[in-house]
Parts: sequence; C-alpha cells; structure tokens
Amino acid sequence: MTTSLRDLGERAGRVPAPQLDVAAVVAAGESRLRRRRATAVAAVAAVVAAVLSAAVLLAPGARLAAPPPAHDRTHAPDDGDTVETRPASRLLTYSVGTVIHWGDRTIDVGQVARGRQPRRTSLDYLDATDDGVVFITGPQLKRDESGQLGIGYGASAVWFTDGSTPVRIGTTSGSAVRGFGIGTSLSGSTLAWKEPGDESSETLADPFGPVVVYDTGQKREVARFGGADAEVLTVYDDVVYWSSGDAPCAIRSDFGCYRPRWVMRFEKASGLQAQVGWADYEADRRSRPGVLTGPYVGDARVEGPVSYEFIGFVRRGGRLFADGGEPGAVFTPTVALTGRPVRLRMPAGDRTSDALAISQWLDADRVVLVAPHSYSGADGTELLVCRLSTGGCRLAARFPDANYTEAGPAGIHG
Amino acid sequence: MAVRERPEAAFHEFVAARSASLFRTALLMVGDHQLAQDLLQESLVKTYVAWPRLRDVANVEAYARRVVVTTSISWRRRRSFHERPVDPLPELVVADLADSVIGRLDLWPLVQALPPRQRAAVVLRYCEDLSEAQAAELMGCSVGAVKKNASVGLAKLRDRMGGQLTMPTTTPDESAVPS
Repeated sequence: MTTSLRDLGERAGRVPAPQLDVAAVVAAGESRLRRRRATAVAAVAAVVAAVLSAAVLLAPGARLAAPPPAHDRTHAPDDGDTVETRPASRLLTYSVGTVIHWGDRTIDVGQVARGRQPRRTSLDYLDATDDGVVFITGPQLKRDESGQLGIGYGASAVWFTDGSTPVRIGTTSGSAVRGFGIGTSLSGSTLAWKEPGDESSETLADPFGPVVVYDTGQKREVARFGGADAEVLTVYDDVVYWSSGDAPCAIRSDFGCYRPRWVMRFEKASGLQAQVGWADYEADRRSRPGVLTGPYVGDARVEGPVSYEFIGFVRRGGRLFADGGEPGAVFTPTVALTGRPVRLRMPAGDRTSDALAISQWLDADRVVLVAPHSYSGADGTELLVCRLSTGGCRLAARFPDANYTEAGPAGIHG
Repeated sequence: MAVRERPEAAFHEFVAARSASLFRTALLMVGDHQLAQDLLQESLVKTYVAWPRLRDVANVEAYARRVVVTTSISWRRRRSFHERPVDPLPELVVADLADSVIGRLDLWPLVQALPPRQRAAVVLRYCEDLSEAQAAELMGCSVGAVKKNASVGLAKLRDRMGGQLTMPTTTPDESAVPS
C-alpha cells in the first residue's frame, strides 16, 4: 500500500477538533493583558505603587528589607580556578518512562504517575536538588462535552523523592507545552514554584496563586509570597528572585515584558524581601556559577550580552556553537563568572545530533547536554556531560526510545 | 472583518470558524491529540493578546497559525509525542482518536520523528499544500531554509519508506524535492 503526505494531511483533518473552552482562553488572555497594563504605568508612580503592593503581597511574617548590595559576591569564588575545582554537587538526573535515574540509583514512580493519569508513561518535568528528585506527572486529564479526553488545565502535583516513596510537596499549574513555573537551585536544597489559585479549577488562565519556596533538606515549605501575577525568575540556595508583575517594563518582547525595571529578591535565611534593579539582579546572576552570556536570542531589541542558565547548541562539524535563533546564526557564549569562551566539542566520532541543549548543571564546570535523536533521525537520545573549561564532552547516557524526560526547565524554549 | 477592538464575540466567532483548521496543523506538528490541544489553546491565548494589532481576520488566522508552527519548532522536548497506553484501558479508547484515524499509517511516526524544522517544512509544504513562501512566513525563516529543510526531510522519509511513499509532485520552479 502506498501513502502520501497529502493523504496524511487529509486524515489529520478528519480527527475531530477538541471542544474548546473559549471563556477560559479569553480569561487567560485577559490575565496576560492585565499584567502588561500593570507594567505600562508611569515609572515614578509605579515605583511607589510597587513598594506598597509588594508590602501587601508579602506573606504574614515576611519583611521588607533595604535593597541588598548591588553585587553580592558572597557566593562567588575568588577566582575561576576555584570554581572549576569545586566538588560535584549534582547527580546526573533523567527518567525513562516512569523510572527516574538519579546518579546510580533508579526510582520507579509509575504508581504515582499512573494514579494521576492512567495512560501516563512518562513524566512532564523533573529536576534534582542535593537531596533527591522533584518531579511533575502532569495535570489531571478531563473529559470535554463530546467525551474526548484532554489535558486538564488545573493543578499538577509536585512530588519529591529521596529514593524512597515519593511525597507530594505541593501543587503547581501549567502543562508540558506551556511549561511549569518551577525552578531549582544549582546547588543546595531550595526550589520554588508558582501555585495555582484554585487547585480544583480547570481553567487555562495563568496561575493566580503565590510563589512557594521549599527546602528539600528540611522537607518543609520555607515561605510563600506574591500575588496573581508573581513569577519565579531565578532560584539560588540562599536567594529566590521573583517578579511581582507590577514593575514598569524596560524592554518589551512580542509576547510580554522581557525586562522589568526591577525584580523582587527573597532571602531564605532571613525571610526578608527587597526590591532590586534589573542591573543588580543581572550582576548577581553573573557573579554565580551556572550562567553563560551571549547576544540576546529572541524577539525583543536588547543591546549587549544577556545571561543564560539554559541555552541550545548546534553542531558544526565536531564543534558546538550556541544557537542564535535565526537560521545559520550561531555564537560562542562565555562563562559569566570567568569570562572564558565556551568551545564544546562532540565526543570523537559522534555525529548523531545536530541540535542539543543544556539540561542540567552538575557543577560550575560541567553541564549535561540533551541530544534528542529526532534532530538527526538516528535512533536513540543521548545525554552528554561536557566540561566548560576544556570543551570536552563524553557520552553519559543513551536510551533508544523517545519516552524520556531530561532534567531541567519544562515547556517551550525559544 | 476588522479586529481593531477585542470584542469577545468576534474572538468566539474566530475560534469557532478556524480552530478545526488550526488544530489540524497543531496535530500534524506535534503528533499527539492532547499536546495538539494544549498547543492550540496556547496559540489562541497569544492571538487574543495580539488581537488589537491584527488588522483583519486573515491576519488573525495567519498569526495564530504562525504561533502554532513556531511554538512547535521551538519546543525542544519531544518525549511525550510517543506516549502510548501501557495497559488496555477500554474506557479511555476515545482518547486515541488521532491514533485510530492516522496512527496506523506507517508514514505518521516517521514524520513525527523528523527534526522540528524539517517536520514543519514537510508538513506545511506537502500535508498542508502551502507554497514555499507561505511556509517560510509561518516558520519565520527564508524560502531557502524551507527548501533545504523540506528536501532533507523528504529524503529521510523516502529512505525509510522506499516505494511505499508516493512522492509529492512539484512545479518547475520549486526544487524542494530531491531527485
């Protein structure tokens, strides 16, 4: 039997489209517009209002601090060599199906995953802390008016396992396509996520709940703060940067505000909150390990280098260059902390992948790159561990099918 | 129809009229019914946000379709595309509509296994019957990039399918099909 691509298209057209909840789509759109309008107010008035609203948004017991030093180097080593000899703080983490691989350990979380979605055969998100693995199995399925099962847009359970039975530690929202508002620190025990406003609601609208900070070592919630438009920006073990959603926008992209004038900084030890300017936020990021710099890749007009914790790479022969976003556009990123260029090389003889991406930082010098098999059409997906200081990469894991989840941020990138 | 305002009625009308077509593109791009639904809804949210600056309904549809395509290309995570039930679950059979209609075609998994840009070029050119220029507009790239990606993608499909794949016909000025 022969088949054609046109036939494939026609058959796809015969698959019934889902019954859309247009009101939910409109609500989600209005939520994003409200965030935009909030950032468009006059700068002086906004700063005043933001200070007030930030104070209101804080959870009981949390306090506003004076702005911290613009460039807090308490976590920055004295020189680059010190960084590169730091002991490894993270274990290679990924899952195949519902079996999590965390260093040498394997943890089968299938019972948890299928309890949420009976058809579930993989995870929507996972990442590691120093104490174990955090994972999300995805939102509950729901049935629309026609009886068709679809992705629910309500809550997704956040789970944690240290190798023993997984424990539900919280709730977030999002989906595999749209991403989850969750982040972990490069080292230590801190993670933070955006909580949905109403766990039981099945709405497509952006999550409306607070930001939750959790410590996987202490196995307890540390703080919750922020309102409907709060977003997690960057998580360190001692500090969580977040956007309250009401800062005036300095640089706008096609789909929202790329750079607000200021962000909020939560200090885990003291519980203090402070408002810091974007430049100070950037300076702090670049003073820590786990950040690369390079030209902006996106739709906004941004001058000068920007910071990336995660970035894609494309292969040119045996060399890897950062993906510049446009066809043929590549660049050589630098390590923010040392200023050294990143010149990665594929393992000898490995030409299977054309496009790769950072999945996980094992320490200041070692990153995990995921090389999906789909990019080359070859069988198998690879995880490579690469040293930024030498450029060398080695094969760390290989699995034959596509039913895997790599560590790191979920959802849409680019 | 002018869309300078954002009346909900007009948006409802647009969704009712065009969501099936947009869903087809989303399904071809990601290959999974639930992910396609997620992708479609995310694209519609972005379209709603952009509504005031889209001058007429033709621009609205083009914008929404472009969001579907570019989002599916930029989404680097693929592992969910091939999810299948691990046990027979009769009450969930309705969830496998896409599988039942198109999943049995040998070509379907091969298209889904193509790299994102090659898959987009092949789907838009040969499943959706768009011109190279139209495909380039939706993918946000040059016509040359569409030609290259479609050519390489098609060659891979032909390698895997051999004589079972009916090759697309081409016009003399289009060189996307490898010889």
